Amino acid sequence: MTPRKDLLDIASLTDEEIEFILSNAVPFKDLFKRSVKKVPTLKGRTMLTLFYEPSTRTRSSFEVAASRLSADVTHFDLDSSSVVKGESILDTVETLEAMRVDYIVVRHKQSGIPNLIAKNTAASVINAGDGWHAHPTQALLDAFTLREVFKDLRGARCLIAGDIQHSRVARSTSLLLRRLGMNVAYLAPGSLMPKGTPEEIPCFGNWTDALEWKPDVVYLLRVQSERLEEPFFPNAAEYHKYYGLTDARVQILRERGIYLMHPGPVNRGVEITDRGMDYEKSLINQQVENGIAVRMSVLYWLRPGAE
Amino acid sequence: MERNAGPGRSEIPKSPAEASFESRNVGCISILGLVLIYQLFGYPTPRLHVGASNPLFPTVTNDPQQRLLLDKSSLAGAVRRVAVEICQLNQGHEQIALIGIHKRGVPLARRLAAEIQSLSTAEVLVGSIDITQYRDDLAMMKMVPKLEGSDISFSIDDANVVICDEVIFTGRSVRAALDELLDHGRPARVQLAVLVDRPGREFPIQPDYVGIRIEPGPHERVAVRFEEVDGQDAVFVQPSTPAK
Repeated sequence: MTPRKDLLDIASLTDEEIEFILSNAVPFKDLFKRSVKKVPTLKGRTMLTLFYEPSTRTRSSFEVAASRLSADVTHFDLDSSSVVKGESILDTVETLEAMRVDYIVVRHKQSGIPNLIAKNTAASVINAGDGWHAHPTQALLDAFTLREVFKDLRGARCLIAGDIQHSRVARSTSLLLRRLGMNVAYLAPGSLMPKGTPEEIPCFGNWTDALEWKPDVVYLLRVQSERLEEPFFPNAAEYHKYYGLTDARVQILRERGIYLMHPGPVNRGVEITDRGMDYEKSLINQQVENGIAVRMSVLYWLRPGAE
Repeated sequence: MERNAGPGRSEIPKSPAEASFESRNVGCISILGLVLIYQLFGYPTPRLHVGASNPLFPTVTNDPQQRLLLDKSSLAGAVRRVAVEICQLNQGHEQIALIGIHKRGVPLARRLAAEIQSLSTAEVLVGSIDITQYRDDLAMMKMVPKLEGSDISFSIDDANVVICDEVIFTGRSVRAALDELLDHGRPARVQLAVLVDRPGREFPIQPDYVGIRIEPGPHERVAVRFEEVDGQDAVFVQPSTPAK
């Protein structure tokens, strides 16, 4: 497969590239069973994480992935850096360029920032979430996880529930799952249902209707606590009652053998309960483990300076 | 460029066409081994020049530049001979782990395993390794190779391991395989079996077991074909395709 320089979104990947990333992630995951869990593939390269939005999971997942490829990992500490003092993003990129960093993992609250950075550096840029736009490695790890469960994704049904409107996870994952032949539906309060949803995606306003659609997987989105103050939600308890995965709904999933996913971190008591977290068909931990393998696969494929 | 194309199958050789059936361990080959060689090749001379005009190795392919070195039965004979030697040099070991290097080292390991099982009471284990992640030339390759993954379903700690590959040339593949193997565990001993030994080593690595030694002409490459992978059993010498 021809290497690419950057991974900015799912839409720009070809079907062959998606298949390449997902199938290579399988041997990377096999490494985790070995006594030495790393390979020398990226020895001597440097990966830097540049997170303008707080993140623990995604960042550490990338860091573990790069370490297992023997790359050196460093973090650009934005809280204490000159960014606080007003340095522009492109000035920061110029600094990183001078440090001869090979891979830059970017998260930013504004859509399009990773693209801007990618245009201004020879390093490979990976989008780790930009605004409402995209989170391609999350989508890839979700697809990888589902492929471990369902041999063939074609025809399988995934119900994505929660704040669809503000979710880059929903956007990227939904796009990728549909490209792989899955049926996707949304469950959200009207205020959080995106306008202009493609016609092939059924939109539900309550669990009863959504479960009648007979999903094979329920993918819960995180309720972003900062939005709880916005007028989209009355309050956490109300959200939980109408749109969260209550204990009663966990029981329905159990009876029907429906799998459960969540990109993490979870808000217990809002979109999910303690029992939901202990649900035996939850794939949440599997998603975390697979995230490392998929990110290794992405780093393996990208090449700094490629066309 | 060619030097860097490593662990390699595509480098330019240095010497004129020449091949020999002599085994590295001719001195210690048993009567059985010699009988096998006579039976298989009917040719007692250890050195054998191979060329298009040699009646033993007629050119049977459509490509006039491609020369057949081993056909199905002589390839089977070479494998059997290697298996005999492995048995001899591993006498007293209860277990032999054969680990094939992707791609064509894997069918070689399986075939050696089958032969060894018919010759010896030792337990024979078979695994495979994909050395891609350990290659020293990954960053120089135009295309990123698809990973096949390694499959070693047994512990190699204290194991008696024989790495199997179809051709040894520069020795870079074997270097990568050794590095990977040591990340799986700590074997008691590691040996190397190859079907074809071709001069051109770039590392101090030598095989313990050799099916056939070949010294092809410059701009030629050795192509081993296994039925499981290629639909045919044969060893050819053919013009090397330009490096991709």
